[in-house]
Amino acid sequence: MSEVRIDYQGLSRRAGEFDFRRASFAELEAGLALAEQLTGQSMATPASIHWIDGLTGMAGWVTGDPVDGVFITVPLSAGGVAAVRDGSFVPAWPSLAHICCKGEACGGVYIGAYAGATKESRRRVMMAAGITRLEFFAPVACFARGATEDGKRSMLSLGFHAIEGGLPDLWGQDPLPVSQEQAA
Amino acid sequence: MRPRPDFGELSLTRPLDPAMLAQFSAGPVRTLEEYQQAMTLRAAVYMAEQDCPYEEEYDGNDFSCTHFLVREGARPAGTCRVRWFADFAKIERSTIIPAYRGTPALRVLMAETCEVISRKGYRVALAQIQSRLWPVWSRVFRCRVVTGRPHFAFSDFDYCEMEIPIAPHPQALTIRADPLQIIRPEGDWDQPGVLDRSASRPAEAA
Repeated sequence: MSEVRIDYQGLSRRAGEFDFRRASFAELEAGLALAEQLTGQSMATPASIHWIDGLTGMAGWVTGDPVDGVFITVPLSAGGVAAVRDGSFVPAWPSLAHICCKGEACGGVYIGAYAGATKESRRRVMMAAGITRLEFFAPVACFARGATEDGKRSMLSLGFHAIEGGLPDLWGQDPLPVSQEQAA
Repeated sequence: MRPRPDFGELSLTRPLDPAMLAQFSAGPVRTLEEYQQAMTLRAAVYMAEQDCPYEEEYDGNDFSCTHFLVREGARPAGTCRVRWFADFAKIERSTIIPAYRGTPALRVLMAETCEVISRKGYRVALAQIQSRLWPVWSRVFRCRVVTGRPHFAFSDFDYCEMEIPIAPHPQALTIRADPLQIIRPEGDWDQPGVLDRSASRPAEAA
């Protein structure tokens, strides 16, 4: 299985070009409330995402002031990828062994939420998700839940496909072709 | 009503069920009576059950740490103590008496303990655990055994080191926190304390 070493500074810089920043706790509260409102789905608690973000150095991102877009992305360990595939991964309360803590090898990415309240913020969310996926995580698989029809449509447009087994409504995207130097 | 330990419970493998917090309460020891309860629980478990010598159990660190107690109603069920270092907290002497093993007492105790550790701004806790008990602790905490470190032994048991990530607390107390908040009783920083009330008396000029 491919793994990747995350370039945290580069990721933060690139996300910033789409007006995304690492969220404070208050911004996570606002972002997750927004995502719940827009998707009609219950989300992980802000405290839980804050915990994951602190360990991984990259999980909780927001845009706008006040927050009008949110992007939750959890880097996975190799064990985490296996857990997503076999259904034992708990997105709202993941095992420590399933997440890729800062500095560890990343085996995959789980997108927990992406949502924007306006056309512009939705565009920024989609651009940030697509570009960072391509530039920083191409060698590894990417996963998300197809919670809503809108979400499924946007995932289809990004090249995701439904995966049988594992978590309910699991969608995934295989590793993308990468240049030699990007692969770990 | 005591606030839920939203950040402390993140160190656990599963969130606390509200019923657990209805059954058990936990927090820092603040009185001599509570201190005596904590010492009694440890005597029952470590000295009586594990045959630990008195001088090894009461090792000279009990007046330089924070003790925690978990109760069901008024009845003490377990205890632990935390010692504070520059960038980590060390959880020690975790004890649940036999009548409460297998109940949520341990989880409530550890969630409340980690809540205080988190509120103080720490991001990691260390515990030295009996190696044979790793299967138990790994079901309680989202934690890992520290790799690249030798196992070691004392008081007739093999030990290893376990690291527990502590959630970042959005209201962590800093050196610039409200001066009256800082001097409130440990773990009760959001309720005005006796010294807040004393502030209404006129102060003498220096």
